[in-house]
Amino acid sequence: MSVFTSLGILILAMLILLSLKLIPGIFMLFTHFNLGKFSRKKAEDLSIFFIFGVEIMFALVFIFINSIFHLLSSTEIIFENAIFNFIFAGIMIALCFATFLFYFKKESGTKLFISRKTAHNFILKAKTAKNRSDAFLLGFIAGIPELLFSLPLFTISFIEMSKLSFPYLSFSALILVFIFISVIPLFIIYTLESTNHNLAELEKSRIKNKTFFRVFISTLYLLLAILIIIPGVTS
Amino acid sequence: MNEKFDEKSLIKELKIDARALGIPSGAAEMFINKTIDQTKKILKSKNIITKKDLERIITKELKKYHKDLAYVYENRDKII
Repeated sequence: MSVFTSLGILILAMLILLSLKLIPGIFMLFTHFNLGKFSRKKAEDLSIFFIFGVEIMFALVFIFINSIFHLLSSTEIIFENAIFNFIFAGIMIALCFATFLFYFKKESGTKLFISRKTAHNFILKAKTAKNRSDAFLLGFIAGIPELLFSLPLFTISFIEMSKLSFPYLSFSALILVFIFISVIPLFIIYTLESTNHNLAELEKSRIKNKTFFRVFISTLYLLLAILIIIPGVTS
Repeated sequence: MNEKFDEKSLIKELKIDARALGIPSGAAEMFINKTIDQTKKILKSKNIITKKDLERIITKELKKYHKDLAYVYENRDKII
């Protein structure tokens, strides 16, 4: 696989991660309730700890993937690139259909695939969080239900990043950059909500773009599958 | 499951929403009190009401005073 293919896969995986809606949705509500309950300074402080929780969760996912690969490499399992490429492409195609069919519920609003009970628990936690540890924990658990959609992306990104070598940028630094970029939407949401754009405006824009994101994320998964499978076919 | 209309927690929640939306506290209090009064008037004529109908009544009343506040009240359970 060439450097350009690896970079292409990384960019597509990152674009999908940036477009997923569960963590930003919980963060939008969390920021809204904090701005309503606390001073701007405390709201900002709690938002930072929420984002920190998300980053730690992402880092732990990468550590988990690293451990799995380390474990597999010490066994007698032989990694055949073409077979692995086909497996990953299959997963991406399945996620493409899954996103199109049930990532967003076919109801009003931007209800997601998670159960109503889980959604209500998240809303309740966002409403009642009052200190840094609550904020951190909420950020940490916010991305867990979405791992169904994001874990394959983290895995493929991990594999591709391990193949790339940049001057002055080690593998772990590359992962840190990846984690930092994937939480940028949260910084944007905080900036918007703490300035003149309230929850009502943000949610209206989410509803307006719901179909677009459904198609956009599905298409990106499909493109990712194609990009993964092509080198396997040509080799 | 039967639930009592919890006026205090509703007022508290609406005040939090209003502050987050940047509505001045005096104006928010006036909107919320008027909404609660009107809702109570409607509830007087009914012994039992579904939660959804109650939310619809409150949203309708809030819309008269502040559209964004009504929108947030109506949609906050539909965001995720």
